[in-house]
Amino acid sequence: MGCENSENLLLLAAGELESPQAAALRAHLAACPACAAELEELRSGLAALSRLSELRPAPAVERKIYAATAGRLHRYRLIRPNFVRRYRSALAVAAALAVVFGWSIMADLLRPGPDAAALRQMWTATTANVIDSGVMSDELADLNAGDAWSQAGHQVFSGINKADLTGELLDLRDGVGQIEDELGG
Amino acid sequence: MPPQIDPENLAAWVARCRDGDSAAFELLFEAFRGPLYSYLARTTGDRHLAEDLLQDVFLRLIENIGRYEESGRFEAWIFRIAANRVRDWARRRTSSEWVGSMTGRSEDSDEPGVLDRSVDQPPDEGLVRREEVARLETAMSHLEREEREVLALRHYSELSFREIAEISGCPLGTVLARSHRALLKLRHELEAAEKESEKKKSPRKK
Ligand SMILES: [Zn+2]
Repeated sequence: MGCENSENLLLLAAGELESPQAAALRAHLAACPACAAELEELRSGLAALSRLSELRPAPAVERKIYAATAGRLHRYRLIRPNFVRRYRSALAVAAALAVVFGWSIMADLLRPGPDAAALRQMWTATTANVIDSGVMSDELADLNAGDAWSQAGHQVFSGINKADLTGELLDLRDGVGQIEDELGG
Repeated sequence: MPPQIDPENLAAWVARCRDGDSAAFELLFEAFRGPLYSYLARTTGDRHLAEDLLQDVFLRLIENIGRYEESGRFEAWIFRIAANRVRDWARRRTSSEWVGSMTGRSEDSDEPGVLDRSVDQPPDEGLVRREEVARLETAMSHLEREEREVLALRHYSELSFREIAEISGCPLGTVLARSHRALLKLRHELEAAEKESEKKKSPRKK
């Protein structure tokens, strides 16, 4: 080990040393028993490692993990050009809900969940963007202010269950960037 | 054991998964659950924690697959997500260890035990082979967390040491030095354990 070849010896043992360096090191090995022994140790260690078996969660746990993840797939699909058109009404709903209920209530509705913090951030960004930009002005105009606004919010909200709302909001998060692009361009 | 996937198939699955194709996601899930879970469980030494982390990795896969750039290998991309989850876990654990050490607790008091039997071990495997595997698992569990991690990453992801350096954000030299140390430790402990078990057996033989 006085040769300080350890790094290259490991790369050689792993078959990852570039050929000119490998050739030089092999030449050295022929004359240096210490490095040759070290290489053997490393090879033997790698061989032992290769016998390490694969682990799997229990089947029931694995199914649970699959269900919890696959169920989210459609929420994150790539944003398509017609995204804004498709989600115009959802954005209007989101904006209305933000005004009617305020974020603190929405946060309670959506808690607990891994996305609570992300949703909070997204929610703030979305509603601010949507309201400031006026991109939803047609829909928002329909909802109007005051009692009419509040009623519309309640009506909309009672028709959406929590899971669907979470889905809408996740879709909205994807949509924020797209909307910004469209507004900018 | 690590994902033996035709790169063309893999590219197609990834593309379809990006479009929200659940069948493609299922194929990715099936191909990577074992290697990812094994890496997470061996590194943390805690199967329940590894289950949580595995779910987290697949959630992040779904969330971020639209941003995956095809210039890099998908295996490296997905194991980077997993390695980041491990880093977050280690950071949280280290801060609690710090509190622990303030109260006189030894830093290694939560050293993980040997994980229970793996599921893919053929039932007709000989006793010798089973003993060998058990010794290997014990030796693995005695390594430092970072040493276990680099070896588990190497074995289950089949990434090169260079790729491992890239995804873990460490210089190649650090990864090589750590792996070198870990492999020699593993080797020495296995040797010692073999001698020990032979000593135990020999009086019975005669
Ligand atoms: Zn030498």
